[in-house]
Amino acid sequence: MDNWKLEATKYTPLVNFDAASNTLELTGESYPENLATFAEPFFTWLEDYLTQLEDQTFTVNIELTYFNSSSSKMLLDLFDRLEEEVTDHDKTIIVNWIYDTENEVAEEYGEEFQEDIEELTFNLVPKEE
Amino acid sequence: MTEKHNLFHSEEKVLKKAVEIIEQFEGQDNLLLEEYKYLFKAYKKLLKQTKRLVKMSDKQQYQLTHLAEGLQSNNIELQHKAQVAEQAIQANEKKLAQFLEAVPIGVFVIDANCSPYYANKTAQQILGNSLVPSPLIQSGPNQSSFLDAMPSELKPIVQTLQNKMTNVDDIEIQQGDKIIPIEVWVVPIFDEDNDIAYAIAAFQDISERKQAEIERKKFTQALQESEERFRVIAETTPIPLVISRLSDSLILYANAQVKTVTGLSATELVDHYHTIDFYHNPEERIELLKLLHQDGYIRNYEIQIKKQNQTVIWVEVCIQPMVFKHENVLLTTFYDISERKRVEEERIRFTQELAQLNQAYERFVPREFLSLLEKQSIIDVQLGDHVEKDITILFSDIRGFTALSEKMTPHQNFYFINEYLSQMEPIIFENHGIIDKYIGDAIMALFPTCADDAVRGSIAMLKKLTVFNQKRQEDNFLPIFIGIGLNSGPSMLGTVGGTARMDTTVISDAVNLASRVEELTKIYGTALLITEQTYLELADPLQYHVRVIDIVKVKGKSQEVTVYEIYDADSPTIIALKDKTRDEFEEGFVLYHFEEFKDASPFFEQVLKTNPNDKVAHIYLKRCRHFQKHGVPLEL
Repeated sequence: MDNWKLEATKYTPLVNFDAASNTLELTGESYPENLATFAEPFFTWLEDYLTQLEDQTFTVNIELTYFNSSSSKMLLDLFDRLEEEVTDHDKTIIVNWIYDTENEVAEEYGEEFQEDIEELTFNLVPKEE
Repeated sequence: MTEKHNLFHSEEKVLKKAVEIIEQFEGQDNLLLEEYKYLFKAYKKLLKQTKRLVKMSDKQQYQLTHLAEGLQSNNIELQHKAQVAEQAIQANEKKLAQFLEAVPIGVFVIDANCSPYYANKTAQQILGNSLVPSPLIQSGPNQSSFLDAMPSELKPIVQTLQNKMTNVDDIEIQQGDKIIPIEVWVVPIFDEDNDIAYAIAAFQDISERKQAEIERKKFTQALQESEERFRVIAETTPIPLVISRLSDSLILYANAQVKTVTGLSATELVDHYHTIDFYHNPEERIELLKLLHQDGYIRNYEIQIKKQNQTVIWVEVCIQPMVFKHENVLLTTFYDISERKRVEEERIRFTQELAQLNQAYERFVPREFLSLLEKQSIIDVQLGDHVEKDITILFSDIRGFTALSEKMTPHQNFYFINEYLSQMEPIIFENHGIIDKYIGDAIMALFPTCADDAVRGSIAMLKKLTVFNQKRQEDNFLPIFIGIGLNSGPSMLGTVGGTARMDTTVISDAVNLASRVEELTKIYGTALLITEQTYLELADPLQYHVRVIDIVKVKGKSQEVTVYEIYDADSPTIIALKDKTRDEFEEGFVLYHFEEFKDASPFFEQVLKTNPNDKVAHIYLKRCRHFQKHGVPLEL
């Protein structure tokens, strides 16, 4: 699988997949008016990736300082899809929820997401300045 | 939680109902039940997700609200900061405006569009209010109208906007009937893109300076004219004059006439000689400078100067400090007074001679005599001038001078008399006497002040004679004796003679009696005899050693006069003997004059017993015996 990248815009985060390390990064803010224009290519790429993913560990690092409600729904869908892959196909996937220690809300969002996840590895990773 | 519960209450009820249905149909092989279970599971998951999203949405809402509050707070803070900054800018602008209003030069700013932006009060006064109507112009007249109104002389400001810095002198602004000369400096101000944003023009009204320049030109012209006049005057005046530098006396100007006093031409003098070179006594320059400092000028100061040929001449100088070619100088004029000085010296010499002549005259006519006649000088004395005054007359004579002089040559005679008289004369003067005349060895002197002067003078003369005799005896000469007679009375002092030969004299009976009394000294062998008129004039007769000598009848008059001897000048021994015998002598004297010769004789005998050399007592005793024997003549 090749490296893949979506440049950040004013309303969407940077999406960067590094094929060498099998690591996907989502960094920045996410509050697009029309989420579909962002979500559609993202999930298309994800499905392709998961199809060819074998026993390598797939790491997803998420560091979002702000995201809106529709972005929340997209994240829930992402974590569901990854958990399904872990549960149904025994894949090794790690999600790192990276947050600024001074940003309490970001930590709380991580905890919210963590509560619904059962099989997927979901780490809350505080970021030291 | 309750709210959340409440929020999803109907969904929970749907779930509960679905569970009941599944439980009711559990165990049945029902395809529909399987489908129902799948839907139930999907609904349950959806509800869970919905709950999560609502919760997160609330959080996001809270986060947004918090952010909004933060933004609002930041906004307020920014607004406050902006307000403070605005106030500071306004204060600075106000200060700047005050500074610009306070400066005495006009400040005028135009922007890149050539529109007036700012003009201070001075600028408005200079440029006129029509051009710049308010102190701070935010939006002035449009560019074209301003440029039209702008005086062509102010175009340098516009040129500055074309990136030229200008400093223009002597611009003239027409303001009504008045033309104001101004000086302008124009500087462009660039913005951050290095484009000209403004041009600042600083104006200065230079009317006063221009006026001062005109005045200075006038003054310079007047000065040049004045200097020209001075040169003409200096060249044509017959008075020699020089201008010398105050600091070192170097001659900066001299007219042609100076040659008469220095012996050098103006060309030779100027820039080569110093005035001090011509001082006969260079130290006098210090004295002159002192006078200059004191009075500010010098007028008619007489000084000796040395000509080029070393001849010394007298000149009168006038010195006036002044400024000549921007230097402090002294203008000195000379007036040759050599001739005047010569005449003056001659006059002084003549005056001295005259004074000597007067002194010589005084020897012949004593000044005191002239004073008695109330005359200042012998010149004033006229024939017949006279004055009447009570005076005491002195006659003195040397005993046996005729016999003495016969033994001497005429030269020796003159020498002797003059030696004697020169001893006596000062004593008479010292006692306020006037020598009326010398008659050979005899002296006639007048004492106009008082009789005591005459008596004291006579005693002093006799004492001086004693000293004079001691000297004579030391030189192997015989002593000489003199007799002095004094009488007092009213006398006429005046001039007698003719127009060709005139003399001063005293006409008085008192003179004759004085002479006669002097004659008596020969008879009685006494040195000093005075008449009763003199005796009565004395302030205190008893202060002298005095005894009565005789009673004489004045020639041609019936009046008798008592004569007294004053013997203060005798030796102390004789004085003592005469004092001791005075009472006996006077008893005998009284009896004699009462013609009681028999009774009188013993007294004189008694006197002679004590004082055998008393010549007067001898005479009286001899007379007593004679009259006793031969009787008394009719007139004693």
